[in-house]
Amino acid sequence: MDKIDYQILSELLLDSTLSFVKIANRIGISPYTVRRRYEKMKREGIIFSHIVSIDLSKIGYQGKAFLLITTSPNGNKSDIISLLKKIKNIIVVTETIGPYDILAIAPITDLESIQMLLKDARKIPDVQYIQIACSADVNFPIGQNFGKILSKKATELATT
Amino acid sequence: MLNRIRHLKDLGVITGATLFPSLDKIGFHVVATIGMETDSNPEEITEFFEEHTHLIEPSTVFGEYDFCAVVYAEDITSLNQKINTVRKRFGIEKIVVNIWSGIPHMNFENIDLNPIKKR
Repeated sequence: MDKIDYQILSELLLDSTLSFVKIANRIGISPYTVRRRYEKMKREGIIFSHIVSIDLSKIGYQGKAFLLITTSPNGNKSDIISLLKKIKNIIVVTETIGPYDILAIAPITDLESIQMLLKDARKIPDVQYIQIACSADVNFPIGQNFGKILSKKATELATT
Repeated sequence: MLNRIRHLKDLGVITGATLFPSLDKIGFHVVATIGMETDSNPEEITEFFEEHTHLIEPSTVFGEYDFCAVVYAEDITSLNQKINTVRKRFGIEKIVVNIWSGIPHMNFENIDLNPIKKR
C-alpha cells in the first residue's frame, strides 16, 4: 500500500458512498486510478465490506450487550464461535486473551432480549460461564467515530 | 430504492456509510476490550478517551464494570500506554483487558431489523 491507497481509503472511511470521480478530484488523480486501486484493495482483502451506519434506537434497540464467555478447558473455541454466530443479533464474535476466552457483542431491546441471548448462549456445549456487560451505545455496527478515527489513521499513514 | 434510502436518512435511521477495512493494514495491530471499575463521571472519561486515545467505542455499562471500551492500538506497548494514561488520569484501580486474538468474526447481517414487531 502506498500514499495514494491510504488517501483513497481515508476518503471512503469517512463516506463510502463517495463516487470515484469525487475521490479523484479531491486527491488529484484520475477516476480510473481510483477504481483500479479500489478494486485491488478489495481483491487483497484490505477492504472487507461497505457498512451502513444505523442509529439502532430508531428501530427499537436500547443498547448493546457484551457477552464475556469462559469456555471449559478442553472446549473447541472454533465450534463455540460457529454456534454463537448462529444466535440472532450476535454481530461480532472473537477469541480473546485475558480473563475471558470469547467476546460476543449483540444489540439489545430490553431485559427480555438479554435473557434470551444468555439462554441461547448457555445452551452451547463447553460454554462454562458468561459475564454480561450492557452499554447504552446504539451505534451500529461500531461506535459513531469508527470511520472518522480510521480515516484519521489512514491520513497519518499517507503522510508518513 | 434511492428514495427509500433518502427517507431512512431523513428519519435519522441511516446515519452514514463507511468501509470495514483490514485493521492490520490501517496500522491497528491490536484490538482489545477493556472493562473498568470507577467512580468518575462516565461522560468525562468518554471525552478524555476521544481526545487522547484511539478508542473507538467507549461506553458506560451496567453489569460487571462501570465502563467498557473497545480499544484499537498500534501495538501492545501503545495499548499499555493508553491504558496507563487512563488509569493515572482517573485513578482507576482495576482495569480488565481482553486482547482480541485472531480475526474477529463480523456478522453484521445477523441483526434483526424489526426487533419489536416480531415479539
